Amino acid sequence: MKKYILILCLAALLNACKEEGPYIDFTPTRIKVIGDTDYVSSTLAVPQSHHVLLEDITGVKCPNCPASHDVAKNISDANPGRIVILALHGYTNPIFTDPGAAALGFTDFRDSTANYIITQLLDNPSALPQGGINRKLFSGETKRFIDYSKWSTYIGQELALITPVNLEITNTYNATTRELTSVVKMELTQTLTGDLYLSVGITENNIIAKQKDPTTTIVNYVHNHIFRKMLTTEAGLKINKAPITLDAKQVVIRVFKYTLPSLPVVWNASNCNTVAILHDGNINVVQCAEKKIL
Amino acid sequence: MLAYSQTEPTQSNNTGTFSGSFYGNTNAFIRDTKIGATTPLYTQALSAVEGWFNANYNSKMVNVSLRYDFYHNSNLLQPNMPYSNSGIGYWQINKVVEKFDFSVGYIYDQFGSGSIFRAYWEPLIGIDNAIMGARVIFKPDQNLTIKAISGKQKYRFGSFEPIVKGVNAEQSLSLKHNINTTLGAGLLNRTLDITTMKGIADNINSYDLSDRFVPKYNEFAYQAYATTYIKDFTIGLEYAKKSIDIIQNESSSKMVNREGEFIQGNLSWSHVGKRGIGVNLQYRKLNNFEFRVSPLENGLTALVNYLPSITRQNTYRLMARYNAVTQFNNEQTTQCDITYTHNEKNLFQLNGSLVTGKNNVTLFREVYLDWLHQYSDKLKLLLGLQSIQFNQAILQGEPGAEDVFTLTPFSELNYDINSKKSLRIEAQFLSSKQDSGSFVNVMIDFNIAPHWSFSAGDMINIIPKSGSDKIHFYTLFAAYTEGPSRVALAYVKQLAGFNCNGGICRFEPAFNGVKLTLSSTF
Repeated sequence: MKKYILILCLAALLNACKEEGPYIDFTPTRIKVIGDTDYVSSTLAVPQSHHVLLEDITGVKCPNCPASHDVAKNISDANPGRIVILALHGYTNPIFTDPGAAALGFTDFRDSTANYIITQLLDNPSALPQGGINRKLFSGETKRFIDYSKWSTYIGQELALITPVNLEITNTYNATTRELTSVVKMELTQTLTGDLYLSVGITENNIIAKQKDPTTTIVNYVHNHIFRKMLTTEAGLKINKAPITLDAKQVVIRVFKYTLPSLPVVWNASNCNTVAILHDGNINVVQCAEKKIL
Repeated sequence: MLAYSQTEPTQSNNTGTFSGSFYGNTNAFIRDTKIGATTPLYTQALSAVEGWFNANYNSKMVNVSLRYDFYHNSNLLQPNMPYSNSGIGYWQINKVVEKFDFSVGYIYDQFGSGSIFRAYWEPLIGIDNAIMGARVIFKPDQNLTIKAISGKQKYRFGSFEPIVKGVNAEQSLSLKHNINTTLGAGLLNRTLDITTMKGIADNINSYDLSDRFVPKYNEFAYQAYATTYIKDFTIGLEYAKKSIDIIQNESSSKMVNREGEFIQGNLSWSHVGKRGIGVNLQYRKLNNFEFRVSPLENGLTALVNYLPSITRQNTYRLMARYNAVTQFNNEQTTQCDITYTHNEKNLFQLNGSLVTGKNNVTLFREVYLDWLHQYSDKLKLLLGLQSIQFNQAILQGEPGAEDVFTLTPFSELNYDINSKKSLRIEAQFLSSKQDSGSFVNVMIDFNIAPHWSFSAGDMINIIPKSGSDKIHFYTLFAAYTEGPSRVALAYVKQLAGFNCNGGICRFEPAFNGVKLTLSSTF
């Protein structure tokens, strides 16, 4: 009998948990929205300042996360308008991210798209807080997530770069219908090779909710940059589809419409932002932008 | 079996035995534009050297094997282009500790028939898919064998990055009424590495949206098989299944994600009496059963399993011209083989096979009949007829090509002139209106034991298709054997076609040149 148990054990060793596959782009061919357009400008635009995307991987039960939030705010304050922050609450590291039973009073900010970005694009850290800087793998690092003590250094490096694409967002909001219209304009200031992808999402600031810190639970903690919704797929909308090229002077305008939900919680439009992210085929962010809805 | 296979060790002492073999071959490539012998081998390399030296040390303490391979402008690994490299092509350390057998290094092995796993070396068609890793065999008693293997598949002097792990168990049972059976089961897992998966994902992301799918890193294949002997009957059954996996579609233009299935059965009956008869029926179905360590590879590269054609393996030159190359993803084969011994002087063989593919399209059909008559102890004559239908469009990958129909009468005469000298003459006439037309092949072998062998032959497209010239494909061969060593010199001219070994076939370009081969065992 023992020998057959041995065979079963050997076979069982070969099977394991459910795996996560690689990223496959299932973005439907986008139906043109009124306002979508593309053309080649007659003049070469002057590059705007380079912005940096900071994706703060965080959790409501993560005691050290308020410290990373402070680091992010300080960097943002020192570089006004140039730092785009996403506070990503995922499902991994449940000890830090799972709000637990409703009776505990923690708000559940977790989101499947945020979880995808954490696990698939930012190398899935095993402890929090961590953060991605332009989703890049920096020299000297082995992962795309970076300890918050190093954020300032790497963000400084990125801010010094010249953007190859200007990125602008224009928002229109209908308070009656709660419909948001975000117009995203991309204008290439230099010729790029490879592919270019656009992600557009919504974040919300000033949400008062519980947050753990190293010593206690802060009941009225102000949560900012909470990632709410991606209007494109997680990995973005491919921009360079024929006849659009990535040559300098190429202009592409895309329009996104979304009705801000009232359930299960009301998103406060006054506190919401539209975020646009452009990344290349290696998921490195080349430019990003943020615009308040109101 | 190849000439360089290992023989009994020639040196031994109290501590162990040392044995091995050497094989070396030199090709001189002679350009021939008429047959298409114009690859860079003929325009740049001009000559090539290839071979291997195999050494084994076996003792009660440990068994150690090592093989040094050398390829210098060789066409063995890639028939169209010269390939050069040399180094340790194989090594293994093996130790038996009571009921356990441990091996590390390069492992050659298989589970059952090899339907889900076989690692083997077939150098003359460029196959060396050893597993670089470890194997443990456990034999708790003489009727049960359990083996587990883990590693990476060898590729030339490196390896593919995906990991292969597997376990196999075989149990022999003796039942009542002289019934014996062997039961077996196996499970194999292949895990893709991130780099290979990135290549796959990049490909998939370039497809139309409707063709995209999320590929899996892990692939599982399992098999269950049984062979039962009941008096004069042998019954074999095997079933294997692959979990959803990335394979090439029918036209090899895209990867698709499909489950695979393998079913095989055979029934044999043999009766030995005043008149002997043997009947063997075989059936096999393959459905999406291509299994590679890397789905980005094709041909005979990176195959994890072993699915040889189960149709008759012909040896005569013209009769082996068209082969039922295994279609891993959609194939059904039925074969019947009957051998009838009328008396000591007359033996008959009948074989028929049918291979169908998708939508029951006929891929290959063969009918074979021969009669061997022994006139005396010195003189034997074989007469026979073979008929083939060959789907060239699918089996040879030539879209639009019409099916090839052949009818080939053949004969072979063996005559022992005296105790040392013997003569063998074979002749075939392949009649066909398709492909390259009709051919005649005649070959004469003359042997003077124990040292000399000579051979001369000519194959000619006696009725070429319109617009083609008649071409002679001469073969001249001489070999000298001294004990375990042999030197052979040959001039060979051959058409492009399949080179098959053990039912595994590779399409190779035309060859024209001189071969000098030295082989030895010790």
